[in-house]
Amino acid sequence: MKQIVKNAYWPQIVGAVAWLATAGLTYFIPNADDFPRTTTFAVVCLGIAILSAISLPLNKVRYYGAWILALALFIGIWEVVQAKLLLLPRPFFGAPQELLDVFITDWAKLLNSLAHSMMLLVGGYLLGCIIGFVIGVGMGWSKLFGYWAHPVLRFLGPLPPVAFLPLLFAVIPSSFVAGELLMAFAASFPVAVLTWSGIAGVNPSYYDVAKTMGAKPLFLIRHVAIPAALPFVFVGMFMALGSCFYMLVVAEMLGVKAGLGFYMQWAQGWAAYPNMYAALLIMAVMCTSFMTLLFKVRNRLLRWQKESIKW
Amino acid sequence: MVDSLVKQQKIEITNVSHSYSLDDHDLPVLEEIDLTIEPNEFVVILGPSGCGKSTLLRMVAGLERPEQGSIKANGEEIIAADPSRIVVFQDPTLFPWLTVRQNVELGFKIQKKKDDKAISDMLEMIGLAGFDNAYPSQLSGGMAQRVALARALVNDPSVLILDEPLGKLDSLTRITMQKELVNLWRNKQFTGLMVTHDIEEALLLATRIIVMRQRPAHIIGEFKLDMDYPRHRDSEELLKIRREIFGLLGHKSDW
Repeated sequence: MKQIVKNAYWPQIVGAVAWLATAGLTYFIPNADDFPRTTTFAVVCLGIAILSAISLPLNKVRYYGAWILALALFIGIWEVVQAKLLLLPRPFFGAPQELLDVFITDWAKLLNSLAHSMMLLVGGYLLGCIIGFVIGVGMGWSKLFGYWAHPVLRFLGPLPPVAFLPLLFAVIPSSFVAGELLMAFAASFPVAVLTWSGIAGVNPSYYDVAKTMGAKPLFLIRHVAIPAALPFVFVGMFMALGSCFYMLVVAEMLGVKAGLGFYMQWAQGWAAYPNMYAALLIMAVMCTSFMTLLFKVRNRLLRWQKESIKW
Repeated sequence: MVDSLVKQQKIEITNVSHSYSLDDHDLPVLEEIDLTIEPNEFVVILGPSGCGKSTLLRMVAGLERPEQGSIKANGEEIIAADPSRIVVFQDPTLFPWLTVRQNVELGFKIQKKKDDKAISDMLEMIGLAGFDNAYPSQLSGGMAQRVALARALVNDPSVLILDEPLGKLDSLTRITMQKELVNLWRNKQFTGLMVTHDIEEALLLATRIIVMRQRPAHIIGEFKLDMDYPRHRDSEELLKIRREIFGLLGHKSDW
C-alpha cells in the first residue's frame, strides 16, 4: 500500500527522545545485580537515538516512527524491570545488556552456527523442492507414473518426517546428510501434492490452443503445464519452507552437532539463557529472510497474477 | 501465386457420426454429417447450443477423431492437429502468464520461427498496437478475443476454425468484431469455418449457412449467400433467409 498521507514527525521525535531516556536510565541508575556491558548498552541506545534523530527527514524511516518509539519503550521497560529492579529470576530471564554481551563475546560461534543451519536448510529444502516438483509433474502428466507414485505418496507423505529421525540418524553415519534427507523429505511432500494438483487443474483448452499450432508433448509440459501450475507450486514451496524450519530445529537439537538448534541446546545445558535468546533472535531473522526471498522470487515469476499478497 | 494455391485447403467431411459415452450409455452427438468446404468460403454452422457443433470443429482441427466417417483436407485424412488449421475458441484462452505480444507469438515459438515484424503488423491490424506488454488479466473481453484472433491469424492458417468466438461478448463489441472478422477474412484469404447460435451473426458473415438440428446433430438445411459485404441486417434478402431458418429450427411463429 502506498502511503498517501504524509507521515507525521512526532512519533519518531518522541521515539528518539525515548531512546535517549533509555540510554540515560541504563547509564545512571545503578544495576540491581552484576550485569555486563551496561555502559556499552547505554552507548548503543544513545546511538539509536542519534540515528533516529538524523533520519527524521527520510520519509521511509518516518513511516516506522511509531515502531521506533514502541521498541524504545519495550527496551526501556525491560531494562528497568530486569537490570534495575531484578523482578524476574536469573538466569532464565536476561537483561538487554546480557544479550548484547552474547553478541559481542560469542559472535563467531553464532555466525558459525548460522552458517551451518543455512547450509542444512538450503540444501535439504532445494533438494526436496526439486524432488517434489519432479514427482508432481510426473503424476500430473503420466498415468503410468501416477499409478506407481500415487500410493507411495499417499502412504508415506502424511507421515511426520520427524518419525524417520531415529532411523536415519542410526543408519546414516553423517548426521549432516541425515538431516539433509529429513529436510528434503519434509519439503518434497507438499511440493509434490501441490504441483500435481496444479498440473491436473490446467485448463485443457490451453493444451488445445498449443496443439492446434503444432505443439509436441515436450512443449506442452514445459510451456503450458508448468507455467500454468506455477502458482500452486509456490503454495507448496511456501508450506515446504515452513516444515523445513521445523525439521531444521528438531534435527539440530536431536542429532546434528552444529547449527543454531544445537547452539540453543548447548546454551540450555550451560544455563546460558541469554545465549539462547540470541540464537532465537538470529533464527527468527534467518527464517523471515528466507520467507521474504521466496516471496520475492514468487512475485517476480508470477507478476502476471493480478492479485498477490505482499509478504 | 503458387504460395496461396498451396495454402488452399478443401475440407471434405463424409458420413461422420460420433457419440460420447456417458455413465452406462452412449450419447450420440453427430449423425451422418456430409459437408464439403471449398477454399475461401466462409461457412457458418448454425444450431442450438450443445448440439455437437463444437465436436465437429474439433475434428476438423484434428483435436479429436470421429468414430465413423472421414474428414479430409485436400484428399488426405486429418489425423492430427496442424498449424494450417487453427481454432479460436469461445473463451480467448490466452495464456495468462504471457504478455499480449508473447501470446500472439505462441505459434512462432512452437514452430521455432522468429518474425517480430509479422507480430507487430498483426497487433497493429487488430488494433492492439501499444498493448504488447500488457497481461491478459488487464484486457477487456473484446480485447482478449482480438488477441486470440491475432494469435491464430499470425500463423497464416488456410482454415480458421471459429467456435462461437463472439459468444461471450457484449452486443456492441460483438457488432464491431463481426465487421472486423469480415475484413480480416477478406484481407487474409483464409477459409472460415464458424459455429454460432446467433442467426444474425451467421447472416452477416457467411457465404454459406449450414443449419443443424438438436442432438444428435444432423444437417437439416443449407443456404448460399452471395450478397456483398458489408451487409445490412435489415436487407430484404437476409430477412427472407432468416425467416426460413427460424422455420427450420421450429420457431416459425416466433421470429
